[in-house]
Amino acid sequence: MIRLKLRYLAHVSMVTGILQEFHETRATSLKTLLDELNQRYHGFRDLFIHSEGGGINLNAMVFYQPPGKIPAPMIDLNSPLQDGATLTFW
Amino acid sequence: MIRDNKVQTILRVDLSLGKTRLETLPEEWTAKYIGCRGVHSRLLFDEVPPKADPFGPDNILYIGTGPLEGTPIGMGRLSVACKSPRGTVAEGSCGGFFGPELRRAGIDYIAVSGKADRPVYLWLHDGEAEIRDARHLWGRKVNETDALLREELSDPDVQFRYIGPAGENLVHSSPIFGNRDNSGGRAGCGEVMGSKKLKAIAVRGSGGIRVADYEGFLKAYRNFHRRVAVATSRDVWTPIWGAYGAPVIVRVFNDQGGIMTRNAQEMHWDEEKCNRVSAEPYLEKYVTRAKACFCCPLPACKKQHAIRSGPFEGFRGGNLWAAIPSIFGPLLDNDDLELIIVMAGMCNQYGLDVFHVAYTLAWAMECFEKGIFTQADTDGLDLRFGCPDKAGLVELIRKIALREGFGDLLARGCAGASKIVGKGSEKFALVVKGQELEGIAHRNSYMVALGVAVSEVGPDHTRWYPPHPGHPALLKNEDLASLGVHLDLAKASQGRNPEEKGKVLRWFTMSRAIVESLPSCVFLVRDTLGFDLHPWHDLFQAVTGIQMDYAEFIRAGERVMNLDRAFLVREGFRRADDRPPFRMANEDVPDFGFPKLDAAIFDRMLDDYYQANGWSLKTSIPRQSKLEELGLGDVSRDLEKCGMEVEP
Repeated sequence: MIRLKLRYLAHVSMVTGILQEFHETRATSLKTLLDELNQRYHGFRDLFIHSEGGGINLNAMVFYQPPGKIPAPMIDLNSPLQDGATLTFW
Repeated sequence: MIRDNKVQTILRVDLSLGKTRLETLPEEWTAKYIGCRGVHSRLLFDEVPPKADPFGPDNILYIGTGPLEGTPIGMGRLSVACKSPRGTVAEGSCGGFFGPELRRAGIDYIAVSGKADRPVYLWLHDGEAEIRDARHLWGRKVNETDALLREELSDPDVQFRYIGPAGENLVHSSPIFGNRDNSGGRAGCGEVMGSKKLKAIAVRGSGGIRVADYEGFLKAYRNFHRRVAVATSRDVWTPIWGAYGAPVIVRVFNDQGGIMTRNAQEMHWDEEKCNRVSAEPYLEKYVTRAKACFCCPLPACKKQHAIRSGPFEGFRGGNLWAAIPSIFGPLLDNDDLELIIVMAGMCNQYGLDVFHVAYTLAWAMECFEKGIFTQADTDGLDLRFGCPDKAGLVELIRKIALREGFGDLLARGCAGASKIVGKGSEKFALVVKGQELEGIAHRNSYMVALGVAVSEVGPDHTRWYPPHPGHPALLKNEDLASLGVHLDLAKASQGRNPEEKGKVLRWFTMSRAIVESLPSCVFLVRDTLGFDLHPWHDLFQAVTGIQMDYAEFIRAGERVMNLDRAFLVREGFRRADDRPPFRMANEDVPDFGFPKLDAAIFDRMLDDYYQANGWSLKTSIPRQSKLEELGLGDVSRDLEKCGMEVEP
């Protein structure tokens, strides 16, 4: 299990109803995390994954910040996740 | 009257003589400078004499729009321009509805020269112009002026531009307002309008705008719309802009060490405080309705709001745009969103520039905490960061606009006030060319640092918006090369890598000059519209009927850039003035580990930018060969006549 801090901005917070949360997960990649969050927040995955191409939507952003580092955009769904990281979704 | 869009008109108003006359501009100007900001750059260079007193009768205030205004692409954009009281170009753009109304009245530009001997306002209706007495409006706030004029002219569709008490009192950096909460021309256009004793301009028109190629326009507009609409745009900012507006960026920038906290002594704010002032609680608790500029497809910028309870109960206003939560929040270490709303609203009502007020307050707070000011200096106000005396701060904003007590010192802006106060306070006055910064940080983004430093109007991110070059998956270097943009986008996108910054900034500045000259809104430069200007080119051709080469269309933007630089250097500004504020160049960022902006790195970026532009590396004066290439040989000769060293 890893522990992540998840932050939701603007329209994404409308789907989640909260601005941020800590989340314990067995997800090892962004893709599996999105699947997991979709179980909790219906429609979450569709905000980020293109329905036809299957990649990250070009009008969506996931910022990934490993502990102690400056955040950077995640553009690969198979990117691994590290314990203690912060992900910002918009 | 139905307007075509090839020939543009200008209403000359001489307030000293009390005379007006309508003229047409040379037809070739529409291809050469397009319109709006571009035409203003040409007029400013040609008509405002070198070294003219900014508050004298020779300074000319231009208010105008361009050939695409009045069509859905114009977005209500309007440019206001004059020589700034700081000597730079003062040009700014604003939205609303004045621009389309002006064109419907048969006028594209208004050039106001001279000075009235008493307060006046201009009433323009279908090509007719009257100079009317405005003594009953002088001293009135922006919202009061709007209501009084609306009642006086008995027409709900009249559009206005006006100044508040701050402009009348020549308060530093005052802009011109419209629709109560929209402002433009923060480099002092409101001050200059006040110096001319011109309180307001009212316009009503009943004409129409005819596009030259209707089918072509529809096709081009649909293509444009696909790139900016929430459902189809390939841009990470479009959904945010569409629903929440830009204030949400306070949370994004904070993660990147990009939030100027406590007068930029730190670059990261407490996360919970950030959450409290961001767009989400604003939308949930305070927004009463959406409001958009003319035909805007992303109506999120100008929401109306009201405070329903608490000490500021009943305060109403609007337009809490991008930078406001940053500059009235972390910059002052203030996490009370209601105080942010009220401070910004007070600035709007009194006609003040929010950046001037926020940065000057932050400077004064740092002076207070360092013992340079005591409560004896501040009219008894506890001016610590964190804003312990909220009512006192709100009152101080009123005093700045009316130049009362301690407010009179702050009415001079950071640079002016720190010059008087001294004691080292100049080192934390966050200004470039005498003008306060905006909300975007420097030490984590070299493009921002360069863009703010070189701007001919002082800090103004709309000259090269956005500060992030683009989604890496959307554009490849070879795509850019096919568009005539030769740069490495990956390097250009790296915040703290100096490589490619000169080139990317040049392209952004040149292309935004085109968008603002059409005019349209730079905040709609989404998707690939910032690099691929073909959609804008198609729209220009369809509306005006002027067929021109794509490369020539791009050159129009380059002309505008060069005219602005020529104006600036003719007023005596040189390379040494294109510098970031002292703090950014001399102090490391403690919490994120970003070092200060190293002078050698900055100079390298500056060299790259001047080189790309064809400007002298030594002086920043445009080279003769560049001006000749752009068909601006007369500008080169004029600079030489003024005794300037124009390199071949």
